[in-house]
Amino acid sequence: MRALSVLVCTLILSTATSRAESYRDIEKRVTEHRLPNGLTFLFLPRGQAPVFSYATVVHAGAVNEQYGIGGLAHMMEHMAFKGTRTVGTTDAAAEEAALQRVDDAYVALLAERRKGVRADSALLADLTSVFRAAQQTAGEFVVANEFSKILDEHGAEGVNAGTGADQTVYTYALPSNKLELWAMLESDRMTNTVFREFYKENEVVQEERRMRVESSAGGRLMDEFLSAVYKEHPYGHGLIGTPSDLKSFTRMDGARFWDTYYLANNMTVAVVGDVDVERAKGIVTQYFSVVPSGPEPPPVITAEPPQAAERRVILEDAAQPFLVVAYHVPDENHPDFLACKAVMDVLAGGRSSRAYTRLVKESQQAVQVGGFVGYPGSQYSTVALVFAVASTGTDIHDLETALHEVASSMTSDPITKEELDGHKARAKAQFLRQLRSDEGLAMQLAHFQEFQGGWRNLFTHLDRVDALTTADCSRVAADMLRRNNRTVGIIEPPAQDQ
Amino acid sequence: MKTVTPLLSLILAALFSFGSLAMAAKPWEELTFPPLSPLRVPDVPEHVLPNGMTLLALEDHEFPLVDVTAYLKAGKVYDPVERAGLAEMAAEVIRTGGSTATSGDDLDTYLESIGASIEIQCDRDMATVSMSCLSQHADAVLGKLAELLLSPALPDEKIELAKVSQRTAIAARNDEPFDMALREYSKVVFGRTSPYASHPEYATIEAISRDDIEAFHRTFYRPDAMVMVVTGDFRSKTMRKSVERAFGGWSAPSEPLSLLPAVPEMQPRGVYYAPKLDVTQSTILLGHLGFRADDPDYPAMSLLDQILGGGFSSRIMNEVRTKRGLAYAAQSIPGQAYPRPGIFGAFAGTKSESTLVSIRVMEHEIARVTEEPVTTEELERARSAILNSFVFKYDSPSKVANRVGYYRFHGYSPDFLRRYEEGVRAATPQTILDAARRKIHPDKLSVLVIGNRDRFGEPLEALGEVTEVDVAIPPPPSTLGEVTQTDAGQAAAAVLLARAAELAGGEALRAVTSLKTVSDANVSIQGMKLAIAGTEIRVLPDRVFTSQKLPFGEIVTVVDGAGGWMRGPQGVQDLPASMVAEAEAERMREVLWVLTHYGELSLQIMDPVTEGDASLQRVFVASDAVKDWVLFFDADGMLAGMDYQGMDQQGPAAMSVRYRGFMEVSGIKVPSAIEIHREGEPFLTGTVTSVEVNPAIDEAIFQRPAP
Repeated sequence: MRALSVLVCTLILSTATSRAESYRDIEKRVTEHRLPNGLTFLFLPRGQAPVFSYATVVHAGAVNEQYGIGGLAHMMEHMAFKGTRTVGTTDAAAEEAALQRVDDAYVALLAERRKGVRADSALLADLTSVFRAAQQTAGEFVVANEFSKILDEHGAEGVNAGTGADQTVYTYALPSNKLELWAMLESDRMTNTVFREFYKENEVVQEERRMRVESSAGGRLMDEFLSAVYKEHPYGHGLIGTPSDLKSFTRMDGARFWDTYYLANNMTVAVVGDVDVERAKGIVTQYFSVVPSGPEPPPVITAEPPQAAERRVILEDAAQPFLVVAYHVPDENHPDFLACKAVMDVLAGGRSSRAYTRLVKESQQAVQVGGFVGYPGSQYSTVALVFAVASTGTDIHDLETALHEVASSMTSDPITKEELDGHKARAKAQFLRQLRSDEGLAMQLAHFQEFQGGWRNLFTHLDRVDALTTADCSRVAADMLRRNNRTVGIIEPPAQDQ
Repeated sequence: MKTVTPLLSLILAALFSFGSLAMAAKPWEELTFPPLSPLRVPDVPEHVLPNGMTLLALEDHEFPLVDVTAYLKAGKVYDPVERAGLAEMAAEVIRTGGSTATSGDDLDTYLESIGASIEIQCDRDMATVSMSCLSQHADAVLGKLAELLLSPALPDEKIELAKVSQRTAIAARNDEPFDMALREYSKVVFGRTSPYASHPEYATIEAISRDDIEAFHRTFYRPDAMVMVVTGDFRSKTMRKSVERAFGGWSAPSEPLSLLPAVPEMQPRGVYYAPKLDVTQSTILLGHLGFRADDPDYPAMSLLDQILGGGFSSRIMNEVRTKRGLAYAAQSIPGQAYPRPGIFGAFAGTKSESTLVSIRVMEHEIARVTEEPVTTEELERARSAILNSFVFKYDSPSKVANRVGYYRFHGYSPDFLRRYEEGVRAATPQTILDAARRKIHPDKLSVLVIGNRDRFGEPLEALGEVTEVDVAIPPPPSTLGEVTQTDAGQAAAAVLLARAAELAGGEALRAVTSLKTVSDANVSIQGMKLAIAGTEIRVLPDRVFTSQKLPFGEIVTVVDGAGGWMRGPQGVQDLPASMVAEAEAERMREVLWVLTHYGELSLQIMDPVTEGDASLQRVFVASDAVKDWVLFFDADGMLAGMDYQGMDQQGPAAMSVRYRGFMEVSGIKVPSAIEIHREGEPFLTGTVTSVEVNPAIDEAIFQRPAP
């Protein structure tokens, strides 16, 4: 603690004299360490402050959900903060028995509820009160939020997690003398997470869904839009879950999902910052060897078939008129993926993009345009998105026509060398900015390890961007920006308001 | 001795196992940590240019990037009342308009081509300029940044573009409940007319000229009020020279710097409600005026915030989210700001039905911290949390430099953070309670709810008298220009109206008490054609029932002078205030109402105009409810149309209505067809299929159905 109080007034002159190292030199400082259970660690000592960040990337996301468990991957993320057999409970064994009684009561309640109109209302009331009573009993063993409390108390920063279509990421930073605490807590939750308060937490998730999806026109549109974009592939389910499933999946469904995907051989952990690699190896070996390994998780079999016709989704709403267009493109490991990103960047990426120039600056039909590739994930064949927010008084359908014209220009008026060079400079700057923080580096290292053929590819990424040619871009643009390959989503005013 | 050993070891073993049993539940508490390596906080050399500009530069060579953040006293708080939006427009146009040397569009293209960026962000208290580029371009991009700040071009087309985006933002400002909440919350805490709560309206945006923006730039973008922080891959000496070269020629105006406007006294408690009917969730904010970060109570209050609602282990989070599963988001708002007092309070987003429960829980928890001391355990946990995470305030060169720059900009002492840290170390449950009693006033805690009150379960009035916040967006000012009012002009206009009233039926017209009209219309919406079958029942003076049958269902709208409701495929809902106002305006714009109530209107004759081959007489009607209202009379003297400013989702729109082919029904003349243009574009053509004068009315149609 004394060191901390001194730090504020202590001024140490540390004028670095070297010019910026090439980011490739960072590669030499990365140490890969694999435990016998298959868990891969990446360590990168870096920086001057006594802190470290880590990222655990679990190769599981909403894309792994089948019918009936829509939202379960995201629930796992919430559960990972609920504690383990040691964290968050006063008596793990008694609690487990109580939780099983909650499950039994919930299953009985669900069974009666599923009878719909034929359900016996008196029985429903009884089953509900049995369930509530069981929940209350189990609740008595809970030490609320103990996991987060421990982290708060030890000064953790950026305690966060995120569930995407492809991956679930856990991350935070701690003062670097707390590495062992981190190893204890993180290995424990990857091994011993108890799904306590499962049926209360699914209400929190339903609340989150209300806030993100139902309470905003943009949320409602994107929910409908996504299911039109993907008619077969599970990318078409929203991330946050299906309302019916959120109300009916059980703790046992959760355990099945966890045991299938939260495996040592299905995740990567990266640690970046003030870390002594040899000491860290010892600590993670001591703590993480218990994380179970298992068979390779089942593959996602259903592939999105080639799109045969344009699809349209129109939301009538009093909100600001909005337009979004999706084009199917290949996955992130496909040789054309970076060319798709280049095309989208030139089309709608920034203020010098073609769409921004034509629609915001020149015709003023839009106040904002943007575009990106990889929605909602990119380990499988995905889409590139362009969106535009209409300016006041602009007919959204005129804006749509104008946007399609700009998109066609990518083939009729092929991407120039200057445009592509601009993209390369932007991609370089953006990429380097991402790596600047310990957390950003940890997430990218772990992500590349799990999804892009190994962490070393992080350091050749810019070479691959640099190798792009205008011919690649033209070919990819012609293939992608076709009417039959697009889905259009629109928010337009309700007819009665006109 | 040998015999004793096993016994002793048994005792020791028992003690040990007892000890480990007691500790077994908390293995993380058994960990011991090596001392933290000392944090080396680099010095951030400060250099003040002769023109008063402060430069703080810190080298960081890991990546070939350079970043600049510059703080300026050019925030929204300096907006003149009648030109609200000026600071934001200035920030936008200085950037988008480019400089006299490089146009904005050329600047965009240049920056994009090298992966660089320059942005200007305008907040309440300050404007923040940021620049980022690869280090090889740093000199060039700094040069461009200096051009922008020293000699912005402020071209008219970018000003117009900034107005378009301001107008669009105004039209959309009630779309997202959280945006509404933040906007109205500032008014609740700082007072409705405070410069800390002001926001633009159509009228204030229209009022802004290029001269205003130029003057704002001259007054508030000045070197002696700017602190610039540069970090990244450069050598300090070279960077200083680059900055001097780029900014040395910028001279400060002779007028002294403007002071921040005073923050008002703490407002009395109120319960405020703003309707937002299309949501299933309530957005709740509680709050009152806070304090400055250099207030001696700040360290205690930040500990209290941590305990009350600052994280997963906080009281509010526990009560609202963890125990009751009520809200997705729930937290306290700590109260401090740097240049002036902030806002103390709490926030939650929760499903509509649990609105009052959530408010009560938060109110209770806030009151409780002023009544009893926090527990030692809570305090120690909060203190550890703050002190252990202290190191993160300095974990990168850019954080170090920007922190120093931010304090410097707000005139805070360089040892501010050290004193804060000392305060956090020294706090006790009693000093926290004392601070809470000084800074938190539960009786003055205002409540603001954005949501759908029909779904609250329990009425909001249970919390006290409720003030409904009028979130209606005032229409823009006239585009007609000033119409000179003269007595002669009023008299001439009255003659035209009187004649039109006689032609339309005279006595028969005045005997009308209700009117039922059935019509078919074709509407062009957003490039689509839509057929609408409409029935309208109008009962004088102020009740109107409208049924519109659309391809996707029937929409019924009823207004009764006091309010209104609407029933559509998605159910029944109250009309939002903005729609009630528009419906009220529409009721007045009706021919029948105009020709029977013109005596109540302020009229003025205008010059005639020619439309097609017809010459039309015009009368201007000065009205608060209907803007830019002009009546048109044909060669016969019939009221043949009207122009006015209507309002729809996209904001205000110039509407032009013309009546065609009058027919006689029960002694009155009514149009048999109607044509409407919106913003000069064809919008609606309608044919009247039947009209009934004084029909039998089923009163039930005006009753709001149960939801």
